[in-house]
Amino acid sequence: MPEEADALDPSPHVPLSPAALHIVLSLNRGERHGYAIMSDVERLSDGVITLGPGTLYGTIKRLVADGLIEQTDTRPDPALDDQRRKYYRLTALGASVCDAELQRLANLVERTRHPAPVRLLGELS
Amino acid sequence: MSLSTPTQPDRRLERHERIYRRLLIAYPRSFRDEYGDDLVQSFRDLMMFSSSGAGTWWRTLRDLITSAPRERVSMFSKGPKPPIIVLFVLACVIAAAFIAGPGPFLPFILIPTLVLIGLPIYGMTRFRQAWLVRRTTGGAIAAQIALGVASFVPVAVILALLGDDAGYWIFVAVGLGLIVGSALGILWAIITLATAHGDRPGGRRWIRPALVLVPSVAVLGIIIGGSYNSYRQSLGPPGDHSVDNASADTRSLWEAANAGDVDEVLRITADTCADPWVKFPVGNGRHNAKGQAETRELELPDALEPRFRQIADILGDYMDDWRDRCGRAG
Repeated sequence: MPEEADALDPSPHVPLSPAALHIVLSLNRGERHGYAIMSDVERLSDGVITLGPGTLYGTIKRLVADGLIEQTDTRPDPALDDQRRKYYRLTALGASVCDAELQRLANLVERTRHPAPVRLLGELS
Repeated sequence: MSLSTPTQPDRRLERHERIYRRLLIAYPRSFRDEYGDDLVQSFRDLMMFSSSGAGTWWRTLRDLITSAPRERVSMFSKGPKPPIIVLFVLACVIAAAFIAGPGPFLPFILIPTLVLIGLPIYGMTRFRQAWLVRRTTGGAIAAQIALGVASFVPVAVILALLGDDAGYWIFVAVGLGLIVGSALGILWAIITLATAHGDRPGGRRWIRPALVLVPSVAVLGIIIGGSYNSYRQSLGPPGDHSVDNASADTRSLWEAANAGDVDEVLRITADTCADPWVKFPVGNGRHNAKGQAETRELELPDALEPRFRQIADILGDYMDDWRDRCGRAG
């Protein structure tokens, strides 16, 4: 269905900001709460990116508004985790955006490592 | 049943949480309402699992400083915008005021500026609480302004037909119309507020920020208006009613009057048909010779009377000829 395809079109949402990319990458591995995302991002980026609470939830707010992530209804077992924690997960659009952004970055790395030979104007004719 | 008492580390954590919760004031209210508890929860987690409390505070404060302005800007850009008609009318009034001169600039720009810029800005930045302002600056503002301007236009047309300052009176009508129109809108909003039932978002919390914002805009308006006024005076327009003279050689006219050279004033006004509404220096003040020539009621100190009356008489004799030749009603 063309409408469904449009709904999952990642192009309006890429490129993602560094914070958004790392949050999406973290949630790509499963549902997470705020602190788990912060820890995950720090680990994923080798400590280069450390999100504070404000940046985390500011970015989460925008990702929720864009439909890339959503809050889950499920709450953890009180014996295992604090019930006040909210968990987030990727939507189908979010997963599509995540794939598109990773592909874009992969292409960028590929082109940087193996640049196409520059052809001079005379060679084109 | 025994109540468990908080341990020392728990109390310390609660104290840190309380401080952080207070700092959340830096974020917009809507953001705090939606994510405030989550922010505190994440801060609590950071404190609990971090090896250094100082390190957590450093990370959190750095984040607060960068993310709070971002959220404020993001909320501002998503808030309700003033209708384009308001900006257009405001631009017209500002343009008219610049043309009309410094005299009417402050009253006719400052008040609409307060009403049309200050309150919508407040409405945009605090729109959840600004129920009164939203009522005022909604789509109805165009109708309010149109009503206000329309109520003054007939008076302005009559005054313009009777006198020779059509542009001035139309400008006055638009300025007064804006003020009255905006006042009608605010009055309507107050009545609605007073008679409304049920939930009023934010209650009367708009008062405090309005008390800060309105004087700020007023000061800004005074600075801009005052600067403009000084600029116009430095060009030498003759006094505070310079609509006609602005189109003539105002600098020469002003310089001649300032030098007390009545012959030169008459020569310039004869050449340009400008209204000889110029002020001559008398003692420490400046007095309107045309007004003196026509009313003969200007009270001056005895010592200054002869010279000024002489100028007024010369100008008075000239006025009849000037009216005939230039087609002015006076």
